[in-house]
Amino acid sequence: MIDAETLGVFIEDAFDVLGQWEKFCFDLKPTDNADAFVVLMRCAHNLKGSAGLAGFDNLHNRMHVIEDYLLRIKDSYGSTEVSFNEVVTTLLEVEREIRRWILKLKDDPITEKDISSESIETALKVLVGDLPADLLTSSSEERPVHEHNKEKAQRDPHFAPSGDNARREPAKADDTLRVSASKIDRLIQLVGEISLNQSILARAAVENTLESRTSRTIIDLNSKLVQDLQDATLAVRMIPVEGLFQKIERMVRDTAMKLGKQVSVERHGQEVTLDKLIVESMVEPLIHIARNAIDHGIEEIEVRRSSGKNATGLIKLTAENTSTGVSIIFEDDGKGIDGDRVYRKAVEKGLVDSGQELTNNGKLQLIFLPGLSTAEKVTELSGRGVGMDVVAAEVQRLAGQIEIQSVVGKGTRMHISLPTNLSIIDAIVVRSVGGLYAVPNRDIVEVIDLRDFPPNSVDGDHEQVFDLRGRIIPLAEVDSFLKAPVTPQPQTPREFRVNDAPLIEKPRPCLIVRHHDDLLGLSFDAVVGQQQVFVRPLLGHLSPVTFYSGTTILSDGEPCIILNLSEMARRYFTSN
Amino acid sequence: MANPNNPDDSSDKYIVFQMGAELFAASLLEVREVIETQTPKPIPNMAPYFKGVINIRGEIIGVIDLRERLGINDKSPSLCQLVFETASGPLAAIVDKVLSVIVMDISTLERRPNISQGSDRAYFIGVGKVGERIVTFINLPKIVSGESMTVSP
Repeated sequence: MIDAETLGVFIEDAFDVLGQWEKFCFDLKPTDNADAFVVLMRCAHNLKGSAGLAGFDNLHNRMHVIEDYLLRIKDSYGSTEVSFNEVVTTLLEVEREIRRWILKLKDDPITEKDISSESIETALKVLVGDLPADLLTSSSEERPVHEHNKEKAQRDPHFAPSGDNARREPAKADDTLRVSASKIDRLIQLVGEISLNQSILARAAVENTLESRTSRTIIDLNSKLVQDLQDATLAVRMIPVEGLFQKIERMVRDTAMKLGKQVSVERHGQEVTLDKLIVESMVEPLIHIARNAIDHGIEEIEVRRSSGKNATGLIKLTAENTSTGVSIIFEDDGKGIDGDRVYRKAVEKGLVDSGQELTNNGKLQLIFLPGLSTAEKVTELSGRGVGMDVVAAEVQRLAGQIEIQSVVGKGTRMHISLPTNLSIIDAIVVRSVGGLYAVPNRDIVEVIDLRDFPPNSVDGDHEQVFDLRGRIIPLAEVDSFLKAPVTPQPQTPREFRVNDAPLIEKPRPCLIVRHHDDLLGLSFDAVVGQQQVFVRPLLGHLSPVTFYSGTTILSDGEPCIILNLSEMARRYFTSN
Repeated sequence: MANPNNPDDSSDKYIVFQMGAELFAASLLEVREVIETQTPKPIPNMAPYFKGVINIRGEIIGVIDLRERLGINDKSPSLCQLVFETASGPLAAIVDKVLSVIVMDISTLERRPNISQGSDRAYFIGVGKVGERIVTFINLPKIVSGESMTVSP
């Protein structure tokens, strides 16, 4: 029987090792000599070791056989009879099969005894031939790693050996997180400092010296330390996007091979970190984007040659830190997407009004609408008309945005902007309809004062616009999206008089919000302040209101709604 | 049925509260806590009887005016709110005041006497006599089940 924690650690370890294995395959060059295989041998050995430790005897034995084969590949590598490509392909195949075993183990550890390495061995035999007889006999017979366990089992019927006949209680892998020791040390250090200061303050409270200068300094210091602690705690959940990118590269290579296309992958900014949950949630969307890119984007080798492109397609994965979070950019140099075709398809399916005027860029964004697929032929890989909308929905669920750019004949670029973490955001607190609302900074392009950009009525007073440094932007009131509760607060006067001084016009704050290429000004009563807020999920009863994205508690203890300005902008531009 | 040998069994205990001139009772097991009335922070785009949200020990809870929801117009100042769980999260119901906790065998209630039986009355359990007073027994979570409290702007 294996407990959830041991299993969790084993799974985590195994994926880590398989990741290194994969990296080894990608990094291997035809000019390398057998020494390069040290990495691979270490991977196989580590995996065997941790399988043994976790009590997975069968897996341990299978890994042992695989290790023997790998040793032979290593020894024969560089000699003429095995081709470089074959080695890499086979090694990746082996890695994929092992990964499949681990995934199954994660759900149900009992399946361990059913693991069979037959298919792997067949593939390996093709490469290096049968193992010598002495090796075979020793590896194919049961090689118990826990001899002493078996003996113990005979003495004690309650001691369940981890071998074939053991009945294992199903255990689910715990969600574990690898954290560098230095991050934990930092937390311990901060907590230590805060508790020390706290005890000084507690003493000051007893001695009635809380008002003293020393106490005040310590209170100030502690609030800084608490802020540091908050940052350091959040950093625990942050992981680099490297693993994510590696998965995508893997996917790209496998799919390209299946389709007989040549693709190379470039990765940039892999050290950029994101919340683990966000990284994990981006796997499926990016895989989908990658699949589309190879299936529909990257052309066949001959087509590429005849259009003067490099026969090998290029896929570029980039992660960048931005002012609002992290951008993940996926680019291919394939045939691109024709905005007009997307548009025609959308009209044909009744997803947009044929009268609707759209820029080419606007037409491209239609690809994120549910039920739209431009692929002329439904293939096994993509083109069933589900997909890009699911990708967009997932990105939005994570409070991110996705945008597509494409030039026919040149390629396509997907730009995904994501917050770095989900739980704490920078927000400004605004007043509207007599209440306070939090607005995430990431939703705001800028905050302006309408006194500097006086609005003009157009279309017979139906709409208001203003000139923002040469760009005409429509103006709406935040209030128009918020139907006031029964008792509307009295309207605050726009102007007030100080003694006999001339009329002073009150500031008229306005938030500039972006929806794809369009900007919208949203006016409201006042900016109250700026603070970090902890996002809480929306109360179920409020969730049908799409203009709300969450709730939070302000520093005065008052509950407060977090507004979804992007949704307001979307509603404004799609309903007008 | 309650086990008389087990005083901790609350399944037959009901909390009696007053709204206007009427008395109501709800199962004690449904009520998570009774809190002193807090002024809710109003939320736009919600039905009129949804009064807003309050912060109870860091948890954000929606507030409904149970009197308004049940069409009781006689409004005395509210002294307390009953916090209860629904499928969409916790709610606090504004009532006039809580009177007592009683033990009641629900099978003795007059179920659905001559009161209209519309489906919007799913919360209605029955009417019983407690002492000299008539008490209406209701199911709190069902008060709001199956209907959206939001209105479009």
